[in-house]
Amino acid sequence: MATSPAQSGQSTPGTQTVPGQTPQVDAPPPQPGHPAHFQTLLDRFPDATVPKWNFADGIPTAAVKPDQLREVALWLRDDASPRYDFLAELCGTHWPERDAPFEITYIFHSLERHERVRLKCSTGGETPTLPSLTDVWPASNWPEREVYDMFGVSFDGHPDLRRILMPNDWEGHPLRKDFPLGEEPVEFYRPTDAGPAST
Amino acid sequence: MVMLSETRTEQGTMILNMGPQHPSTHGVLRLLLELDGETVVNCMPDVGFLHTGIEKTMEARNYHQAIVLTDRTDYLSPLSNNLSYVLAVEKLFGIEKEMPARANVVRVIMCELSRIGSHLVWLGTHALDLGATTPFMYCWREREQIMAIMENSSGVRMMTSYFRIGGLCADVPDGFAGQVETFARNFPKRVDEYETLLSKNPIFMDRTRGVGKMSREDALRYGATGPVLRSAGVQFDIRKVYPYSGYDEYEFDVPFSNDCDVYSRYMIRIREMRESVRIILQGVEKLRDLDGTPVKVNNPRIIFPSREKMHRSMESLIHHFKLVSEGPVPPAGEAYAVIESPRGEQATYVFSDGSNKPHRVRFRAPSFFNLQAMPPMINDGLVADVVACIGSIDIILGEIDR
Amino acid sequence: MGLTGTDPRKAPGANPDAGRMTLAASPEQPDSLRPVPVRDGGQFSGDSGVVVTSLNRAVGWARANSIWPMLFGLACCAIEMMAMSAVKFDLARFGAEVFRASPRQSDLMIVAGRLSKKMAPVLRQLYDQMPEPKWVLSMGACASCSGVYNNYALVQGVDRIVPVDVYVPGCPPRPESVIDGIIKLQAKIEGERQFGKTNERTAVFSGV
Repeated sequence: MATSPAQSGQSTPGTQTVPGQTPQVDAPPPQPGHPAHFQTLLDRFPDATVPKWNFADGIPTAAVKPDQLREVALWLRDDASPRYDFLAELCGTHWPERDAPFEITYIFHSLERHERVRLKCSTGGETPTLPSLTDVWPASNWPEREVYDMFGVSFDGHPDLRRILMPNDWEGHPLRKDFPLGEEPVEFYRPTDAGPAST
Repeated sequence: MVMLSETRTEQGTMILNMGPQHPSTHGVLRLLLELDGETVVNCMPDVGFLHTGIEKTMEARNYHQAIVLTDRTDYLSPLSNNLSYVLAVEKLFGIEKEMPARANVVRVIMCELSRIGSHLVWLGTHALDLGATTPFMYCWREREQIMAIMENSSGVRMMTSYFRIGGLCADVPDGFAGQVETFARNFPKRVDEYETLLSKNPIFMDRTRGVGKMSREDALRYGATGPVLRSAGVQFDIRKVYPYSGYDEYEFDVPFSNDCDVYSRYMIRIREMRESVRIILQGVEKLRDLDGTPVKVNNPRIIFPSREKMHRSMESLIHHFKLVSEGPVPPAGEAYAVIESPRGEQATYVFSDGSNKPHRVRFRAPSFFNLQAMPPMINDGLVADVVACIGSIDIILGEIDR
Repeated sequence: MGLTGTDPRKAPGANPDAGRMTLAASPEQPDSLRPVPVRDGGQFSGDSGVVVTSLNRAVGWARANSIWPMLFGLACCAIEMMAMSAVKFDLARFGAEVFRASPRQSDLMIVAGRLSKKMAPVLRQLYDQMPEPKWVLSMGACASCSGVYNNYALVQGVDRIVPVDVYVPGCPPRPESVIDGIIKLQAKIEGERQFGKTNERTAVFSGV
């Protein structure tokens, strides 16, 4: 949960105030349910939806379509209020039962009031592809390579899309659910996919 | 592996391969350095030589069994990783606000001890790379005291797996507070010793001042966190910004600098060690006040019954059996739990589909992003500066490659 | 062994496995701290006289007490390896004075940590670059048998890539365990025969 002393307008104890820091501005009261910084995102991009899912960490989340992803990312960096300063996380998940099984998550952080926002973008098909954010957020370079390596999702416009964790000649994408764990049989040991304890 | 067919490019520069086995790369990191004479023109890190498939393996274990695997990502501060994982699962269960105070205090003390231990290894190896062999021995002397404390409480020196979902594995032993306090009271003198050796040492300063400079914008754009970001003037510490485990009740400062070179990162980490001692001493006082209080949350869906009850009662036996064989089952959802590890913002992102095994566990490794931020630091430096820069970022390949 | 060429193992009634080191501990085995040297059997190139035997022992003693390990820390075990060479557990008193970074100058490769499939060719190349005599100590559970990670990414034990002389279990093993492993390796090296028949490599478990 983003409850920090910085949000109440006082300077964080134990750090020195940087001269020239902009003071707190009175923001309009947030709509019930969404924090103000997130509501501006939803207002600016009406196509972005809030997924019905249990986000237990309290970071407000919006699902955007792949063709809108770059626009949202650029807006978050340049024109949003508050402006977002760095990309904290970029990761992928595979939900095989969905239509767009590969869900990529982006978490952005704003240093002004230490607020975060999360974007979700899903893709699927034979060659799942998403636009790359490397020119907008250079921090996404290696995480996108990792998503490509582990899930097989390509990123259009990535300067150097090749495997990062697996050997270059590896076949398959290990974190997909249909890729086996690769256990070798060991005597007197029950593999994880057998037995009553493994649901 | 990227095989080099030519080591001389068209521009006349040379490509030099550094690693994966190299004394100064702090692990199995491979760097491809494009050199123009002694000057580094370009630097391409090649990671993945320690890829262990931890995230995939965790999907095959239940939530309780997976705690053991979390130690091995950032193996210099294993308790920090334990903490971020159990915090994420506790968020999924919705019990993060119900943690007993004593468990939180012990978590904070252990994490700060881990931080000191990690910074000691960093200091010893960083100084060793730059030619100073004495700090290595001094740092390991202190680290042995920390290992002794870990061993007394959890039985293991390094991969403790001491935290559990909903609290601690067991309460700390008698004498823990005294042992930690003795260590914490003696430690600042030791830090003075390290500073005597290095901080005003002209050779050390020549090798580190002005080396590895990175601008604030670059640091933010590449997603660097931790001392690397704080050396660029950004005061961002998760313990202050998103306090967890009761960190908002402790008084401590977060050192930062505007110089963003290797020397400033060194000074920041030295001061962080001193601040950790402050936190530990406050934690020990709190621990003494909370004697006798529980260390696990009171939630039978997560916490095992005590062995005495299990031996006597059939229901407890069945309860114990269910938790051991199936494990705790959180509701479906996702939780991103972020902590300040010695390297920066470390997070565990747990996706649950309502079954007893995690659907996906993702480790946001600070070294992954910090290493990505390294090429701008190194460019137009010398090869010897590469060694200083790698040391100053304090990378752990275990968490980069997972 | 006499010059008559009789193989004692083939004599009627003899135990064919006499003198061979096995990995399973059994009460009949001699003291497991000092491995029994492999006895001659079958064809042998000549007898080992008194001079050569003393030379064997001298060279074995010298080699065993001046093992220089190679810096090959892969993962968490590397930290305990560094602790082993640091002040409290001081490996230098056993002759391992320096950890050489270059494989050309080292005798012992302590594989400390998990070996991923991407790193395996590098390991083999480094092992090949080490000059004889060389030994390998597999430190930790991941190096011995891939430890907790039975999956796609790791080589299930470094003995699939290089021949291992001593296995040290643990995750990570205490520095004292690894020192025990090095002592066992020293005993093994002292028992090796440098002149005459080539040695058969059998591995030793460090039991701590």
